[in-house]
Amino acid sequence: MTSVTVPPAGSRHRAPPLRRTDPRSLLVTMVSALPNMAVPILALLFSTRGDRLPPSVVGSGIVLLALLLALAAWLRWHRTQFAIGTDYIRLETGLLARSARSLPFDRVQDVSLEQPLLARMFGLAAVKFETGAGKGEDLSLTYLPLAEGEALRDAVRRRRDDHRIAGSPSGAKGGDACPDDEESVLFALSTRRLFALGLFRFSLVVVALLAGAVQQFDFLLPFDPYAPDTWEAFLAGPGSRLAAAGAGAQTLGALLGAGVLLLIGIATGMVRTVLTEWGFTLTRSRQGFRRRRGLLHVTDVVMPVHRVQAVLVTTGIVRARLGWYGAKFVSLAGDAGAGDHVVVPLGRWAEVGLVAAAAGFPLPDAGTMWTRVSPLHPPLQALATAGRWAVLVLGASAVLSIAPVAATVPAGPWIPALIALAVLRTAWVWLEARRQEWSLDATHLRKRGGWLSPRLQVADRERIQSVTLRRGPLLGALGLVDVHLGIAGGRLMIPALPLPQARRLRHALLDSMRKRDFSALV
Amino acid sequence: MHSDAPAHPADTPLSPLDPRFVSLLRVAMGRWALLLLAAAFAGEAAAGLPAGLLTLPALLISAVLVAVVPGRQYRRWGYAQEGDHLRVARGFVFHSDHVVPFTRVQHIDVTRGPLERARGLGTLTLYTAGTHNTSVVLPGLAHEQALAMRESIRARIPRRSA
Repeated sequence: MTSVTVPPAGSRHRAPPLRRTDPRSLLVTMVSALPNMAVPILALLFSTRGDRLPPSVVGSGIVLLALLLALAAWLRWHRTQFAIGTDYIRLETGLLARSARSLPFDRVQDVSLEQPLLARMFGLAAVKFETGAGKGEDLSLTYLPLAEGEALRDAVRRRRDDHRIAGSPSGAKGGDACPDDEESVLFALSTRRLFALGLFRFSLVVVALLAGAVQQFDFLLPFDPYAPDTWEAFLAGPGSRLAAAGAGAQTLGALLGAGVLLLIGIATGMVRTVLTEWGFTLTRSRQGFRRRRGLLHVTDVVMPVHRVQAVLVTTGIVRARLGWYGAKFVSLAGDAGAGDHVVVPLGRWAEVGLVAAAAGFPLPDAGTMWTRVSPLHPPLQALATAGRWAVLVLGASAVLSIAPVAATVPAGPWIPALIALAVLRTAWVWLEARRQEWSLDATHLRKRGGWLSPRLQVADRERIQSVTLRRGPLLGALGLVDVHLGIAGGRLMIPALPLPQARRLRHALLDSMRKRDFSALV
Repeated sequence: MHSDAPAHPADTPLSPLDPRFVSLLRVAMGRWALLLLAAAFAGEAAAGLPAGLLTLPALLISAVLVAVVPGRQYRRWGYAQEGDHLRVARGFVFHSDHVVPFTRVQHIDVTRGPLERARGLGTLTLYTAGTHNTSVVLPGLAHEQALAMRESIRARIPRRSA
């Protein structure tokens, strides 16, 4: 196996050699494409069923299809070549019309290694370069041998860091300079925590979907749940004891049914959590933060410290009571929807604080001076929500009152249901908007609040991109404005400030923003 | 209040946009008016209401939209290139007031659609990093003015450190 050869600096004039990904990745991609092939094969089988074609013809058809797909996969693999230059990576693709893309290492937000189960069996990994410029701009090499992927990632990162250190005296911030290759564990998710996290990720959505599916797809069940015969037969057999036991037992049965749904919801959350968060480890090295997780599909992401724009700490109403929190880094890479930069899935306040401080975003402490947002904020928010829903309800009832439309819509309590939803949503908005507070100190802007899902945002004053004061008619009448702050990869809003206070806040932020250029920050 | 937030100087007065921008706003409002009229016609026909019950009010609203609103909108737009940042304010009922320091500008665009071109206008857009709420759009500038502002902002963007 060829190892990654990064040409020495200065050999820029000589084009680096073009290479292909590992040949075994062809096998991996083809096997993972098998489920996709099932559809055309089934279509073939179904469409030829009536024609009484001999099995040999159908069989050879399938073989031919498989061969064609394999040939296409091989061509795609053969015509995809990459080259690693001194400070860029180039990818050439296309069968006849070749397209070449160069990605300067400077523009790489973070490099991740992903190992789906099958690739892992072959010791392969996908190397993904995230640019933060949207999905289409990201570049991934599927697949390289793991060791080679790691070497490539380290090479990219070293080069970029050297570049950065040579170019800007300010360098990365939050930097308690770590020795070169030493990694210290910042956070690791124990197995007990993993299962606790699984419980919190209980999915109500799955339960609802399942309940809906039982109604929609009852024809798939091996019995008919709506035919009296089914239940008579059941009651005559094993169920007769239940029926004899009377209403109490039947209630128990209904509860059992609900319990089963609940269990499925819990199990779904548990399985999903164990699959993604297994072995969650966050380490800190000179290169930045490194996160490894996953049971079957293993991912290994490196996040440079200086790319972190803000820290988001979230919890839930139950979790908060039990003292559990989760944390996420906000960065451009996460913005593109590609990276999910969870750094602490479930941890104690002190653990979250340790990670946040390592990134240069200290959490608030007892000395933090909080300012409550206007007490008018929750009712205003609720009013605005109620207004939007009122328009929706009015529109819906107007549409339903048109005779031809009403004829096509199945009868049902649509409007009362919509009103109930509106009331629920309005109440939710009101509760979430209560107790919002913010704090500005010499270096950071913080905001916290929320009731069902409390959250805390910590932003670096210097990393704010823009400031917007915004008001609608309600806020305007009261002399209040919302302050929207642009953050690369996220957003932060301080609601309902009196106009003079908002102006002072803007002025203070502009003062700290003009200190450093964005290219040193993003 | 926060001790480290210094008293701000009074916000400098905003410059108005090019007066030719009003006719662009009128075209935009005209589209809404047409949509409203079409909806009123369709609603009347579909619900079998007496003629004029919906269309007359719609006609009235359309007249206000086209005749009165664009002028008001225009007066509410304003911008200021103050030292090291650009400020753009707009809107009366829904008011917004953006400020972007030049140190945060990633790139600058000057664009003009066919309607703007016919009036000699251009739109200046400043982009910052990120994907939401990351651009400040300043339409309705005389094209030469937009180009001049682009150059002056470009000159003020600090040299990239990388």
